[in-house]
Amino acid sequence: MKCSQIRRKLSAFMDGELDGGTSRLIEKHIDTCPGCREYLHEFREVDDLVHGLPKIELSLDFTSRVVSEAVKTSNIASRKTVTFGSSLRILLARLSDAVFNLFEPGAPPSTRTLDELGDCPPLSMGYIYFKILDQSNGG
Amino acid sequence: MVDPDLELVDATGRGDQEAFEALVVKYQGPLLNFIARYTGDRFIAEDITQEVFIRIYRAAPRFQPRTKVSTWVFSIACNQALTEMDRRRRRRSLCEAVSRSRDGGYDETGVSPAERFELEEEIMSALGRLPDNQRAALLLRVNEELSYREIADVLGMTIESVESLLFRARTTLKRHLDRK
Repeated sequence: MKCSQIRRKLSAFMDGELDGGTSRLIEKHIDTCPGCREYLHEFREVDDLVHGLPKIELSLDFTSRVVSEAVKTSNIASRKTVTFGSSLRILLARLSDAVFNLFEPGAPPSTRTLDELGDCPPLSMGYIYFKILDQSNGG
Repeated sequence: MVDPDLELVDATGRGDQEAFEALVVKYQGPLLNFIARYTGDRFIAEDITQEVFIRIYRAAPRFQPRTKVSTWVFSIACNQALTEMDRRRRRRSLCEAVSRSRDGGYDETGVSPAERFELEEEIMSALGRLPDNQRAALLLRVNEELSYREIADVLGMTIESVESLLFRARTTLKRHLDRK
C-alpha cells in the first residue's frame, strides 16, 4: 500500500474500526514510515484538542426544570388534542346538518327562531342567509 | 446484550416521571456538551438540550427498540440542533441583509468573546467551519465514543460514509491547526 492509501485509513485505524489484516498492515507500515507516523500523531492531537475542550456545567435546577417542563408541555399537548378533536367533531356535525337542511327544503320544519325564513323561496339567497343565521343561533 | 436504558425509556413511555428523571440525569451532561460544540454556542445549548428532553418524553411511548437508546437520543439531539442552527442562520442572514441595507454595504466583522481562551476559540472556530455532518460525526466519535455503526445510525448513513466523514474532518482540522 502507498502512503496516500495508508493515510486514508489512519482515521479508522486509530478508532479501531479496521479488520485485523488491514490493521496489522498499517501497524507494520507506520513502524517504518516516519511521515505516516507523524500523520497519525497529528490526528491524535486533533482528537485530544477536541476532547479537551472544557466541559460546560448545567444550571443547578436543570434536571427538575426539564422534568416539570416535559410533563407540563406533554399534558398541554394532549389536552389540546382532545379539545381540538371535540371542537372539530361539533363543527363538522353542525356543518353537515346545515348543508343537509339547505338542500332538503321539504324537510319537516325545525324549531326556527326566525320567522323570515318561511317568507323566502327555497334555495334563494335570502333563504340560505336566514338558514345560516338560524344555525349559528343554535336553531 | 440488553440495552440498560431500554427499561428507562419504556417506563418513561408509560408516564413514569422517576424513570424520565433518571434518563435526564444520565444524558444531560453529554447532550449539553455535544450540542454546545455542535452549534458552537454554549449559551443556547441548555435551551436546546431542554427541548431535546421534551421531545424524548413525548416520543418515548412510540420508541422502537431497534437501535440503542443512546443513538436514538443523539439522533434527536442532532435534528434539534440542526433545526436551531438553520433558524439562526436564516435570522442572521436576514439581520445582515437589514444591516447592509441600513449601512450602505458596510459589512461589520464579528468580534470574538473576550472570555474565551485562545486555543479553545481556535478549535471551536475550526470545528464550526466543518460541514455539519463532519462535525457531528467527529463529536460523536471523540467525545461520546460511539462506534461507526452507531454514528451511522444517528446520522442515517452508511459505515463507509462515516469513515470518510471522520477522515475528512480530522484532515481539515489538522490542516487548520497546522497553520496556527
